[in-house]
Amino acid sequence: MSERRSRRAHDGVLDWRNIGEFIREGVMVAVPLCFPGQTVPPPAGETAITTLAVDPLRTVYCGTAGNAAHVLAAMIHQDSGIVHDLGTVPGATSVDALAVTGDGLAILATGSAGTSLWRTERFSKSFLIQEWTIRRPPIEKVADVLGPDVTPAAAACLDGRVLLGLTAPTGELFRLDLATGECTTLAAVDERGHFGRAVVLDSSGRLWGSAGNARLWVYDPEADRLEKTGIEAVAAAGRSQHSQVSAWAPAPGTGLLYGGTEPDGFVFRFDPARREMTPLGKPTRCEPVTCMTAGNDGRVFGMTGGDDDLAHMFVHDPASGALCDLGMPVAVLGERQYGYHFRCAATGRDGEIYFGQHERVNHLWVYFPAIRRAV
Amino acid sequence: MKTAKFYEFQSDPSPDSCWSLSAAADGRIYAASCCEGIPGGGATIVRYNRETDALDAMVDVAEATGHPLDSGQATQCKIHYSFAAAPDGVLYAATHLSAPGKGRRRYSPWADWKDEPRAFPHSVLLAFDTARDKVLWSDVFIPREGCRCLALDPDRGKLYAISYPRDHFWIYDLKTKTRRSLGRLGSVNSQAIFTDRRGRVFTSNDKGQFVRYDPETDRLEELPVFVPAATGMSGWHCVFYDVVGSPDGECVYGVPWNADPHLFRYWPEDGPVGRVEDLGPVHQERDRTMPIHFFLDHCGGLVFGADGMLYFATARWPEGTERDFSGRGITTEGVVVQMDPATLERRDYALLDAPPGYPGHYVSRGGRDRHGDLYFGMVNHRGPVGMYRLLMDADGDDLHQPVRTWG
Repeated sequence: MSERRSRRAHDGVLDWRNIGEFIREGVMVAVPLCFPGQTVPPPAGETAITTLAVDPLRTVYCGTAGNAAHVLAAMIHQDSGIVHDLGTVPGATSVDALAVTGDGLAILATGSAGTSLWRTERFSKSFLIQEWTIRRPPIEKVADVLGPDVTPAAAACLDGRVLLGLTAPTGELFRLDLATGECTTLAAVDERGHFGRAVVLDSSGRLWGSAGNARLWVYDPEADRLEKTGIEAVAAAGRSQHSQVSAWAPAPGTGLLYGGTEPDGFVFRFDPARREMTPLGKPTRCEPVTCMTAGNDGRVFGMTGGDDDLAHMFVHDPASGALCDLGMPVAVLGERQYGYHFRCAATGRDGEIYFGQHERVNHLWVYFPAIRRAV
Repeated sequence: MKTAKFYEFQSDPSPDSCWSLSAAADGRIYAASCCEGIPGGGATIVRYNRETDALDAMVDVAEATGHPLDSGQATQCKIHYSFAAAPDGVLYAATHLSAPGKGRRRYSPWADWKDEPRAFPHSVLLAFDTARDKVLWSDVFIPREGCRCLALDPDRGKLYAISYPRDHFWIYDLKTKTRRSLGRLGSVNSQAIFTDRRGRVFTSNDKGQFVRYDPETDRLEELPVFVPAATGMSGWHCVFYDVVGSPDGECVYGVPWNADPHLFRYWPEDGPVGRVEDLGPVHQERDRTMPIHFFLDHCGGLVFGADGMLYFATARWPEGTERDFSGRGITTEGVVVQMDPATLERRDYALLDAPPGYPGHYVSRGGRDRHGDLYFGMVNHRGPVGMYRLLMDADGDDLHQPVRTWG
């Protein structure tokens, strides 16, 4: 018996070493949703991060969903190191969109009574190794925007003044003035309610999304015109009827858009000027692409995985054309965590990538991409 | 000092661990013979037979779950802190993952997630009737995941579990045979879950923070109560390892799964969130700059004797040699410590008579049979594995009551 065990011990059966399933390049950090050592995170069940917005001061704002909806302000540069809870949005269970507007932060949030536009101050702090004075400014209502029968499914901020978005389940486009709260319903992208819950603004300020059999639509706010194009987002053969674009990422400086789909998790590149759709492939075994963002060097990072998956991160390098599964998110610096579900992504000023975790207990994840050796 | 006798598990393939041990309502001791690192390995529920002074194999888990060991899928290879004894004589057992499928070298629940030919399909819940010695029924317990630990509320007919790898809190309704997750707790995975007299359920997150579920409100919440950690250590990894209820049901005693674990006592009904006491380290001093092998820095098998004393098993090693331990290589001793709950005084009570040449100090769980004798499940990846029996010379009948209803 001991001989059998000895053989087993040497054939690697009991070898628990990592087989490479976790993030294979770069480093991820799971930032706790608090001021570590000084505050505690908001209650579990209230911190699923639904949306991110980055301002020029490097603050990353997070909106959450759950038993209550919080607005969080995260800073990781210089002598900051905090995720400050700016507070709960009264009566809301979901923050649907955030927009940095001049000297403030616009918040679109939904509760049982409907959707409202709120506003609070922007946040910036330093000297947080020594001493601090940190306020929680009021979150003030600007206007009621949508009734209880519809909710914002997706939105994008145009020039810091206007929010363009889609409602669910109706699939209607809306235009929201962030200063006044005036909300105008524009047009329906699909009468049957088959549309993607993701939108993106291209470099010309036009809003793109998908509807029907994964066909792209585009709304021009200048002309106030909705066009239902015949361009089909990439889908598995025979499955365009089930597919929609579930995530978008504009590539600054190129005019290009990148997108990911649900339920099958394909990734594509789209040139809005030439109306060219280029399938890039399926980056991981997981199913929907839940979020994407373009990094400062042009690489596009994203997450895949639905509720029944364990998330995988991927990267597309336009320079080489490579599309790679980077592995499962894991963090070991400070907080030691696995990350299983993510819903939103954004790129920070220095090229760090932020991912909003969307589970019962959550962190703001920051990915520092690998930098290839030049020679 | 007394000696606890070792009983080796005899199964094919040879087991490498015993992760569950409990007295059932019949007053007999049941243990899980497990194969956590052996491709295609399975589990067997065994029972101690006092008449023959031997172990009887009662349930072949592969057969009972309908998951053959040669399927290629990660097998139902263990029952991990997941015995829950019901007063009506049913012993609930939930399975867990680790072992790769037959013919495969390694199993990663992350890498192989949703890989149907290779992945662990789901945890299975077995209801074993200890009076009739048969499995009454089985059911899918946790989809895609293993059951790390289990607790029963017999009054409400609910089972509570922590799943692995996602670290979700699950509720299974025995009446409707339905299950639901209340969501994620963290990453490390609590090794124990217990109930209080009010039916509230307690477990822990990565920081050793108590997490409580109240069936009256259906609310799961993190409490401002934490498992004590050694001086200078953070609370990270202070998840519950083993927890035992006091005989009067007013409090529990536990140890965490971290470096230099401290024994703690928790009073769940003391105030709105309960009160925890640090009862001090269970182990010796050590070089604190060296991460000690988890197999060495271990305490488990918490059980009350019929005499009202708390017993637990801990490891001892020659001072300074902890840095040389890699599963073997140093001489270790498994000691059963007795603690008086009233005075908190401790003394070494018994030695675990480990198989010669092998470390036998790692005890997972403890139990007490109807005669008051104590039993301890042992894990030993590199040698014979089984359980220990410690004769207590107690007087009386039904000394196994109250039966522990969690794993």
